[in-house]
Amino acid sequence: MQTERDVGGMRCFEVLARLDAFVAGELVGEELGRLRAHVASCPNCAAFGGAYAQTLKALRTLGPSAEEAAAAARLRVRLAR
Amino acid sequence: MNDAGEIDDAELLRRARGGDRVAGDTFVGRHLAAVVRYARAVCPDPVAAEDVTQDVFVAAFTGSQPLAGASARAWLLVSTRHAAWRLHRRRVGEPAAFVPLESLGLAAGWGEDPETVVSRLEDRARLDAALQRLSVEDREVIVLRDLEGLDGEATAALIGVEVAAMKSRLHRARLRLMAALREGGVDADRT
Repeated sequence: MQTERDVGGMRCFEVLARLDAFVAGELVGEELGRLRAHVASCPNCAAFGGAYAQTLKALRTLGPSAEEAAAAARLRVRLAR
Repeated sequence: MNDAGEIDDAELLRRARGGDRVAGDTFVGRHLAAVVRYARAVCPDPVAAEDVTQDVFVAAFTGSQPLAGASARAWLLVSTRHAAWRLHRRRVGEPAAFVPLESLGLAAGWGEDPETVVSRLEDRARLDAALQRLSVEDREVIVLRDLEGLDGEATAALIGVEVAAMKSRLHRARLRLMAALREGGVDADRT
């Protein structure tokens, strides 16, 4: 990671450190502006930010696995007794 | 009754404790999937997870302590956590060795083609395997926040840390998950 490369007033490792806050919509004002400026000009951070956001999206829409569903079905019967 | 005209959890629990089987089954129906998933995330094995899940609901139905404004979901998850932690032989809360965030980022695929990440996410078995490879502490914070959508304060309270510490743990856990996803699968280069 190009730690010394300052793009848009922020460095790649700083963007990485604030990525969770960014995708959660918690960044504001000047810091948000600098991060956006960096991501607009840094293909690595743009790509990784996208990958991170996609990962969260996949997790948020994850339904039960087949094993979880089977366990739940067994338990529902046992608990009904 | 809540706004949707549904009977709220506290009332369901009260009725279930009074012997109302329909209320009990409704309560189970609302929370079972979440408890199953979290129990499997924090218990040493799936059989233990199933037993813990059963015990947690049985305890809820045979207990006498009212919810008293607490979220039933959070209450059940706390019970699950206590039960699970008793099953682990090692001491709880040992922090993982400190790894700089940059290293986690690189391991997670920083600098890589994002297309690869997306396609891995679509492989359910691979995602499940990656989650399994995480430490219990990493897995539980991801399950609580990202899968179950439990809010930050509740999550932090559940795992016993400050919100800022929870956020840091979550971010690092997500990066480790991305790294585990990257490592899994037949196309991975074993080093």
